[in-house]
Amino acid sequence: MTAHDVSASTTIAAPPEVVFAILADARQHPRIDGSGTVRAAVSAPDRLELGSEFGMDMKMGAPYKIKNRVVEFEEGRLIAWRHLGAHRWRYDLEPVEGGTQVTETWDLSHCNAVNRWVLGVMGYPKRHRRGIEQTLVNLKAAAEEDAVTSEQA
Amino acid sequence: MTEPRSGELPVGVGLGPATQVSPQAVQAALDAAAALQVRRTEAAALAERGALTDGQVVAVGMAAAQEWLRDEDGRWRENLSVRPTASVTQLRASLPINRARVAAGARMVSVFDYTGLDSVARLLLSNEPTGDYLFGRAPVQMKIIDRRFVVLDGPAVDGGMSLMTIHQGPCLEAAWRYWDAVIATCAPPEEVAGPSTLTARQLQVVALLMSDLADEAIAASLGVSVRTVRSDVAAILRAVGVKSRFAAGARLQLWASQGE
Repeated sequence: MTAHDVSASTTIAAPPEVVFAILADARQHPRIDGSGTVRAAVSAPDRLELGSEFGMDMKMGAPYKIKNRVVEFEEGRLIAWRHLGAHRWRYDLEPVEGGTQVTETWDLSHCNAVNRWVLGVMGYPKRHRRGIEQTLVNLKAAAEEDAVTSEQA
Repeated sequence: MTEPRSGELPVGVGLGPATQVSPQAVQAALDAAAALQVRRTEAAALAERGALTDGQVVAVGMAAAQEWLRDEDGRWRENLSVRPTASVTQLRASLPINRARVAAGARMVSVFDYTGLDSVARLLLSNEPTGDYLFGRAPVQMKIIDRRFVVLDGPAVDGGMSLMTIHQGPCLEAAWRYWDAVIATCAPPEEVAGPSTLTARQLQVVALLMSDLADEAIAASLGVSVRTVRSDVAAILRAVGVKSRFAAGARLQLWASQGE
């Protein structure tokens, strides 16, 4: 029942900087959220960087707010944030032929055994697998749309 | 042709082999539930007119129903119970009663609908050492007592619920068919293996800490002493990696509620 990392990848026909621009802008997170829980950014810098804090309006059954902090950051390549839990949400970007390979991970490597077990018991891994897959679909659509727009500009 | 298997079941806790229950067995349980409901409705309509010959209304209103169950329960030697839903609060009340009945020599088999329990309730049941708890498809509530009669919801009286017992006839037969169909969808709750450092009871304590209960309430729910709960909590503190009881409860609730 113990939870393990949940991860999925997709290839997006857009350069890494276009994809990264969406991820590094908390106000665009509701645009790509595949879990249906992210409503809106309530407080966030224009652009996230290492150590940035950003507050989000969430809804899972009932509305609630969380505050996230960026804990891993490498311009154009990597961004990860966490809130009160020890688990992290990470996006790894890698330039590939014709665009960017994006890997999203629900990363439990900083959680202890009981934490991982509780998360597993509560059914998060299964839920997050669906959420991550849908987020990647949304991110792909958004980034490819932005890439076209920026080419036209 | 390979046997079709049901794919998606809600969350895996304690379901064990239930994930392998065939869709035909589930459909048969739902059909048997529908058939029982038809008979139950007929019996309730007869009872409302004072014309029920196969049984009787034994309690009117929620409080009276609970009192009747509490009074009668001690006399029953076997209770085959089907429950569509159960909350942690309800289980905290019913598990100690069931433990006492089993200790007194009664046989209790409780089937819970796996769609009607939240994760914490499943966690509590899955690690329960006493009695027979099964998870299956069980959409209609009933109890078959001593293989003689079935306890069902009776007619609505002044808008409130009532309980009736049916001792013979088509409604009791439908109840037995429903029981058999429900059992065919069942699997025993597998013990939800936790971190190797925690015992089954400590996992139940974790579930109750997630529900924000004090040590005394946890002790009463599990039928152990407060001293035992405190030693279990100490083991959980070490496993969670915090120093205080308060921090452990808060941390577990955070993990349980905010895996987003």
